[in-house]
Amino acid sequence: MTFVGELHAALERPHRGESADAVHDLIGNALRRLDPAVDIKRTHYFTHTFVPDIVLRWNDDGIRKERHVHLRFSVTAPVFQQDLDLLSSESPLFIGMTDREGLDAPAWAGGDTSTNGSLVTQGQAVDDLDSTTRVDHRVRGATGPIVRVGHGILDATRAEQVGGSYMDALQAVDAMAVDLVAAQEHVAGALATLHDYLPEHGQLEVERGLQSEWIRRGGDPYEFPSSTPWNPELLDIGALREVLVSLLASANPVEPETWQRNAGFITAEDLGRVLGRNLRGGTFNNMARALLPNWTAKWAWSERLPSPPLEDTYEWLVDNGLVGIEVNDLRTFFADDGRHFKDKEGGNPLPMLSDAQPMLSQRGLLQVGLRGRLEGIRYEPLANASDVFERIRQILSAPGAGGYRIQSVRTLVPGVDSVAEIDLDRQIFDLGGRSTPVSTLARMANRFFSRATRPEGLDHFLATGEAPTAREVDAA
Amino acid sequence: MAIVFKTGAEENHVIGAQGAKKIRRWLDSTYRFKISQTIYDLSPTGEPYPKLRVPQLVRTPVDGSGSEERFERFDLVGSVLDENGGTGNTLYVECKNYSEAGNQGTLYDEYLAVCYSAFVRWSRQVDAPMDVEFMWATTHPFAQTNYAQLTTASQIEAACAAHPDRLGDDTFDSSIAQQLEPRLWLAIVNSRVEEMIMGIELRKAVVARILELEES
Repeated sequence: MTFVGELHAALERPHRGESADAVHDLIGNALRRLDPAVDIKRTHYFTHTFVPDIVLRWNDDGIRKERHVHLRFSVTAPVFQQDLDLLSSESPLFIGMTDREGLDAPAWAGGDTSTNGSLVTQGQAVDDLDSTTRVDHRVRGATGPIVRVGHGILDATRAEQVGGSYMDALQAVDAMAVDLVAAQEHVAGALATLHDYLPEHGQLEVERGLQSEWIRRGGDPYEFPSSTPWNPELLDIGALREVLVSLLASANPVEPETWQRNAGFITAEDLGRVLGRNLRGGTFNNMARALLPNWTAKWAWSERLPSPPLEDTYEWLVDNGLVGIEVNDLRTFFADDGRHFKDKEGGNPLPMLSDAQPMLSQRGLLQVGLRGRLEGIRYEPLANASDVFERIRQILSAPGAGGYRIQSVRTLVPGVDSVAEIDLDRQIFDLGGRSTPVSTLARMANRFFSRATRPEGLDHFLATGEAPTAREVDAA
Repeated sequence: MAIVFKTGAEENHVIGAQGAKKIRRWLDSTYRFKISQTIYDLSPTGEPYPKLRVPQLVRTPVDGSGSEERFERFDLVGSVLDENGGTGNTLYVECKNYSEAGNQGTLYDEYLAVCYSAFVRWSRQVDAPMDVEFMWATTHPFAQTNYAQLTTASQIEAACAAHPDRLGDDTFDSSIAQQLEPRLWLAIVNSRVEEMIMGIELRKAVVARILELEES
């Protein structure tokens, strides 16, 4: 039985309470199918003059919003004008349940069909939209905004146009690779049809939904027929997230320049927040490789895994809003704001000075903080030491110096004019407020903290976004 | 037994949907009643819903054959609410959209007889006084000289005497009329009374509080 058939059967139930409950259930469920994002709250009032039958609630970027749903037997009768006069200031959703006529020329409207932000619709229209979403659930990209913020008069004929044009647009986008112009025309047509029933923010939501679908299907956002020229820098976080997540989910390869155009302006610090979810490897590796030349950070923090993985691991990741890289036994995160890492505790095993030749083997070392068994931390300046290892041998030759461990390192950062303060106890890099390439920090983190990574493998991954084979590492 | 849906005087009665809507709006605005359906809320086939019907006592045919069912329709149906909005008895409302007293006195007597007849039928079915109430809601007062008596048991008795067909095979029972008396409402809803309805902002606050209470 159709939704309308069930609705009419519910209204025929002899017991008033049972009838109202059944109607509320049916309409609540239908609205939820049209927009799964809304919470449906039924009241114990049925077609009351003032109290809504159903309250829709949803979260709009952290702001709780709601819309009242008022059921009426008819929204075509002249007396419906009284309902509009009384309630339209709250922009509710009116649903006529038993009208036999459509809303082409409702008796209450006269020459003026303005509804003051309210949406006046009918059971048959809900049924039509519901049927369309059953054919293609993506049509909810249009029905959702209509349920939440739609306005105007939407009878069955218009609902069919709305659902049909949106579905046509989706199908044209699916076939975009074959006919881009047709896709652009259908999308523009669907947007124009929907604009009559949505306020500006609802139109934008529909546009973004279609745009996401466009991008997921491998379309270039610059070719999407949006209402304003495509400029990802002007998008709010929600919209930008939708675009980037769509690109990440795209079944087609995303070119590095596409990543650059759509996310090249986002800092490594902000990217995790923009994406709004944890990510690991896969298409995010490609995204990171494309954007890596842009990424800098002022802080880095590494955690060493209890043991190296059985197989070499090379993955970019987003965890808890921070961009990071996992290379074998080491996971390193990057940030501009050191407060991200202020609560990271120390206690990591410190390397023995006697074993630290690879770590201290590069130029630019300014100072090493040594922790002895008996004395506290001793800071050993090395900037003027012509031969660092000669100096270290001298230190180790002193009585009781065999147990020295490296607590901290102060070193110039290769390739840039900045100094890194490296705390090996907490495994934190502090770049003194200087923006430093993330690729450089990743290499330094592996040099100082990892015990299982060959630099050649990391270099390969940073350059290609792909894990190196053993042969490639050996060849390097 | 064949059920004959009686096309009563209601359909011919001169009360527009506007009048019923106006009285309904006022009743809803008191938040002591909640009306859920009107006689103008039609099914998809254009018929009024049976929820607005009340059964009537009928006379058994002299040939002993089964009697036909008889119903009357009211204009509104809903519920009486208690002070805290809790749902109470079912309420049937007869609306009169008059600009003068007109023939309301005569119609009111028939209305009382209909109420008595329905009350007896229902109470007999449940073997107890039925949880139902009736209201005559008019836009213009009538029977001013007898106004205080209009909802009394004696007025019910007089109405039944004037409309014996409403009693069917029964004889009038004054104890039932005593039970019916507190279940009768009489409301004058003229345009000045309508002005008492609260404005939009206050009403929004009240509705918001009602919705909060619904969830608590």
